[in-house]
Amino acid sequence: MTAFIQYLITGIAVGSIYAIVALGFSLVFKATGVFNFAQGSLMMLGAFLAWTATARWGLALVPAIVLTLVISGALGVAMHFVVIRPLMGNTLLTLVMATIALSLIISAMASIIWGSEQRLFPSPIPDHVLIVGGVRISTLDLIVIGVSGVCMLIFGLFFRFTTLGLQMRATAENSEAAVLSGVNSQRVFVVTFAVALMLASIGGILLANISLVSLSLGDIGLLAFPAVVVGGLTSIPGAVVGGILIGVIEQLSAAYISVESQDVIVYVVLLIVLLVRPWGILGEREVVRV
Amino acid sequence: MKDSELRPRAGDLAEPRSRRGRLITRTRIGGRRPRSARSLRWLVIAAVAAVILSACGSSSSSSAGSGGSGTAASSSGGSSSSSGTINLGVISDQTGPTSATQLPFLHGIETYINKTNAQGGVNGQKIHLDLCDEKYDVTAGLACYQTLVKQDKVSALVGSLNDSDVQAALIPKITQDKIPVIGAESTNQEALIPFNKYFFAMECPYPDQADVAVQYEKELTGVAAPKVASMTLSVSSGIEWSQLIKERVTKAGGSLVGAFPIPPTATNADVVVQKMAALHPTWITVHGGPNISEILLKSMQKFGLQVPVVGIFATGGHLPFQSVSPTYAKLFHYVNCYTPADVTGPGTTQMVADAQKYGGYGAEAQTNDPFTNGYVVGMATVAGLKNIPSGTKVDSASIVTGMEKVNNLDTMDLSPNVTFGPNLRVGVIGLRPYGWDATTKKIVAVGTYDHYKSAITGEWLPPQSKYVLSSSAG
Repeated sequence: MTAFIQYLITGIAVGSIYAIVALGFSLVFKATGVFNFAQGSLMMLGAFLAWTATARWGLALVPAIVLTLVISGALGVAMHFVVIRPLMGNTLLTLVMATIALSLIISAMASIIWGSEQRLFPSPIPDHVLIVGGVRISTLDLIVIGVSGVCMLIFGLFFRFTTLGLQMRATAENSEAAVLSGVNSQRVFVVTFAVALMLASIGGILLANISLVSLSLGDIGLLAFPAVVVGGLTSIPGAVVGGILIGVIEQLSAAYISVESQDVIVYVVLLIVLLVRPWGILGEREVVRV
Repeated sequence: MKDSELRPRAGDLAEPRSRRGRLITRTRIGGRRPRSARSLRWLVIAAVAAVILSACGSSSSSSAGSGGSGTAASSSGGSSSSSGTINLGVISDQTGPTSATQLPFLHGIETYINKTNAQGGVNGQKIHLDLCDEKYDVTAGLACYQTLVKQDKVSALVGSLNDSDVQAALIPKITQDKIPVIGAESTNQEALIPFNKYFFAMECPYPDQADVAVQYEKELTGVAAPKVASMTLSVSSGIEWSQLIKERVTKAGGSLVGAFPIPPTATNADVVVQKMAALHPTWITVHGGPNISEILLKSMQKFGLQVPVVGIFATGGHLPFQSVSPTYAKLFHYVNCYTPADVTGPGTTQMVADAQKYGGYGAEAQTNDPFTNGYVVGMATVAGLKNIPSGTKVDSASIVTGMEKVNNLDTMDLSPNVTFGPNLRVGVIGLRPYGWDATTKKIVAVGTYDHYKSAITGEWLPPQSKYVLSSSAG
């Protein structure tokens, strides 16, 4: 039982990171219909930006995070205006290919700028171990879970209680109706991309604290894809649930089946969800009138 | 309402606009866009395509590296060794998942080649390195081989076939084509067994690493028949490593109580460490890169598992030691046949100075063990080329002969002395463990190369290639 709880906590910690990244996916998809395959690479970019701000420029952690989020938001705005907006109205395939291309570009640029060397994130976050009832809990895991939870809460409150948040939700639900109601959809799209990139960067910074800062963080970020699909592409709470679920499934399958099986089991679950409930756990079934 | 606000979402269906130009239903917009918007769109697509092509166009590159030095005769590829240049190929992972170790290795080779060229080359001929990026992918590796050997007609491959899967795929081809391969960063057993005339191994073979690792842990723990647990990358060399450890430990009366493969994208080793803890191992062995040893140590710290850990050469470097507290950093050692720059001596001092002068790689040489490996490969390659009599055509055959004459090459303690021979294809024999000094925050050597030589049996080699373990070598 002790071991099971420990696996669960580790799974929730890793899953929280997936949830943050998945939230960005879901947000962009709901608002614009674009499935942003660059989200994993953007997570890696956020980690590198934060590393540069702390290790190279000597900033303290909090200012480094703020700077990273500002840069990420600006990049999100640029991404929308330069890549997404000119291609809107084209087929879905065009937009998907554009985001894949963006992902490759970001990875290549990161390789050129920072090289392929792995780096240690200079984090002041303590990595002690608490022993509660025989269960060993890392303070780092608790902090990751806590920070992810706070971020999701902040964004949840933003969407629910702010005008802009309401407009984003309206646009995500029905863009035409939102436009007819006076919502400036272009502004909403811009903010959506900025927020999505900021979320990716937060995920990257959290992951950099528990792993190393490296180009392969983008590959880890791709595990947020199944999280979004499992949780529900059109559901923002679903992205969170999906992320945590994927993290837990990974750890439990590694523990009780085999370590090599963890990726396999995740995608088996994904297939099952697609076959049984393709709109995801918390997604809504879309009914189209003919 | 502005027209710009009516821009549709992706996938909307088409229908003409109303007289007021508004969307009435879910529609895809037909008709033509304003010219400026169309132009901007095509400009963006063209720019994206151009960047993708340049970013991905790293294969068959003939530049000698990013160090900025032009003395390695970088060119746009070309023919085999002409009267002025010696053409050598390099197939390595420059942009893929193992580039973190393979790039410093490549830069080490480039540094020594650049230095040699700056000093006049070999018998008046400059050395040109023809690079190809295999991205840790077998298909790309095969394509690189075709390009370098068949098209560019290189005389030999240096510092190539570093990915064990690429190596396994290309060994039959290099044997068939009689292309010498000098100093690959890994050595599969099938590269040496049966005896292969064309493969000049300079990476301490896994069996030798296993011999020294087991010997070191026996000395450290005082347990002759240990219970050992192993965590390895889920690749062929990882399986090989676990098997080698198992053979040696079992022979000593101990046992391999658990072997745990782990994917390269793992962010933690919590599950593995918890399983290991339940097995109560005497010591643990790890295979992979510095990120794998780092997650192992972090998870051990999390779960309070304090047992010694010994890793293969690639698991070392500063990162694993710096990622945990001194208590856990002290538990970790890795074996290597190359001396990291932290271990101060005439050889490392010279190497770091050369790295800065001949490529701007000074910082990289200081913190990356594979750089030393590459530098020594460069030394041995040049020594082999110098053994070719002046006036003799430098081709694959003469390079094989030249390399066989490399005898007791003094590498200034950067490694054991390098020796090949007509029947000897493992040029570097000898390893030692490296650990961490938490006070100086530097990697330190444990003993000398000679000390652990007695542990290396070489029993696994073909009879015609048995080791000659001489204390004068290193």
